[in-house]
Amino acid sequence: MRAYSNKSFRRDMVKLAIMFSVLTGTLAVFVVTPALSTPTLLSVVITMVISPSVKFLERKEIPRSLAIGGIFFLIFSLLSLAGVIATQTIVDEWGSFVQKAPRYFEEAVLKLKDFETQMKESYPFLESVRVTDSIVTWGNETGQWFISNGPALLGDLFTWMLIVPILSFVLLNDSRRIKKKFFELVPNRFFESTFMVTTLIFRSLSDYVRAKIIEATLVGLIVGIGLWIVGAKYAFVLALLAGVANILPYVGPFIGAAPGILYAGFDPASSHLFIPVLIVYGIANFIDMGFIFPVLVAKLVNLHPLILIAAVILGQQYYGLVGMLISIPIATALKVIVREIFDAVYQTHQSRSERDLSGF
Amino acid sequence: MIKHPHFLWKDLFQKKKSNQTIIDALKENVLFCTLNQRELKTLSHIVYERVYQPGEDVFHQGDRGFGMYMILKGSIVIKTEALSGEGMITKLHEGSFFGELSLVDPNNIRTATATAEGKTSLVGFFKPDLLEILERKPQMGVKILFQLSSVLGRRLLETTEKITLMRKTGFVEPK
Repeated sequence: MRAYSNKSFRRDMVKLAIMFSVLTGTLAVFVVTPALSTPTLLSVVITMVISPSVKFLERKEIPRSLAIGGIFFLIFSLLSLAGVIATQTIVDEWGSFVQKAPRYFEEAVLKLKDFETQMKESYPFLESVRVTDSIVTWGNETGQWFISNGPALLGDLFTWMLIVPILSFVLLNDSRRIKKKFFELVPNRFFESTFMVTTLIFRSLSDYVRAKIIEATLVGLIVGIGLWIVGAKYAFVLALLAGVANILPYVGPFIGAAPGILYAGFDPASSHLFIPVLIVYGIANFIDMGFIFPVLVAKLVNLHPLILIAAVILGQQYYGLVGMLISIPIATALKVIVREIFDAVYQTHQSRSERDLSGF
Repeated sequence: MIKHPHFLWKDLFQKKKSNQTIIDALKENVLFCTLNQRELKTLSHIVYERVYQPGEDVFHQGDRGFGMYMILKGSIVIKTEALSGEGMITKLHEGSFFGELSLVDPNNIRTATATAEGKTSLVGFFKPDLLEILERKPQMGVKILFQLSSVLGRRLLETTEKITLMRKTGFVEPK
């Protein structure tokens, strides 16, 4: 038995080394190749979002490949229809908004500068605080980034439009095969625990991504309908921005509301809409914070708010917006791993009969 | 009765157990015997085949259990560790299965250690897979659950009968 143990230990260590090499190698390739990692990440997100619909069709006895094909056909048809109907409106709105946005930004900066000067005159201890300068620097840097990366981004977008659907189809159709191949690398002694941990992590991540996408869609819809009711211009674009920004935890709702508030506050033709627009964003955030987030997201994440805030700050500190975006999923995954390790190391594992006996 | 070789009647076409595929093995298993060919094919894509070396543990007593194993090839020794020492409970061969309680028990702890006797091939079927089948193909999931209930019911009945017998013989004091 000892001979076996030594031999088995060596073999398991080799398997473990191969497994970690494959994992770190794949991760390294993804980190250094954004052209590969971005469409793959997008495909994973799409896979997570579409997966429940595929399961629903499978329940109706429709073969998986056919179900996936059907869903893709439906999505492409809807997108084409939306393209025909709404693209012109959105493109027009977007063009006009992009044209006027720098003016709104400049006016906002001027007013903020006046306000900052007044505050500094009243409260001299604020002399060292430079809020307006920071915002101007950020605005300039972001603008420069878009100007220098714009054409490349458009090229990437076109490539992604081709790659992402194919990759998503493959992931949906062959996810089990890929999973099985990965588990072949796991040594027997770690197989069950690795299997459970990865299953739990993947489930939490899928639930979180789905919940966030649903949350963002609902917030976008509420903002869009609200802005349309009050008669604000750019309702489509502002709703889209509010929805996309809402994916960012904590600061997302503020970032999403900023363009609409800036537009209503600094466009002379729309100044009468400032309060109604503010109310629309207020209502959207109230519904989000009061109902959508607690019902959809908070229950799934189940982490202490302090840990969540710490995770988001850490993510922002090291990886900026992307860091903020991935902070909560990573914290959720780490929670699953830590809990499993805690259970395996610290919990006394007794069978029910042993537990009953020890109770006497 | 005189036994003599009837070569003409010998079943030359019977598949050797050692060469049987996962689908064949699943079909012969009591848990999956009610599934049709298409369902068996689906299941064969879901389960995991693992190979264990002689003396290698599949799981330890006290480990958390997440699924069951079916023996495809080789044999498994089931033993328990108690204060009095280690004791062998049983030896399982090709076609047998073990650990099925963990498919339905929310906090299952393995009550015995399973060790491969020789080089052994196992087919693992785990709780998340059962849940996925129930989600994706409820009819197939219900068939498996029904068979699983029968197996667990049979085990409960046999355990009850044995305890009753032990009480009758005075081996165990009734409460």
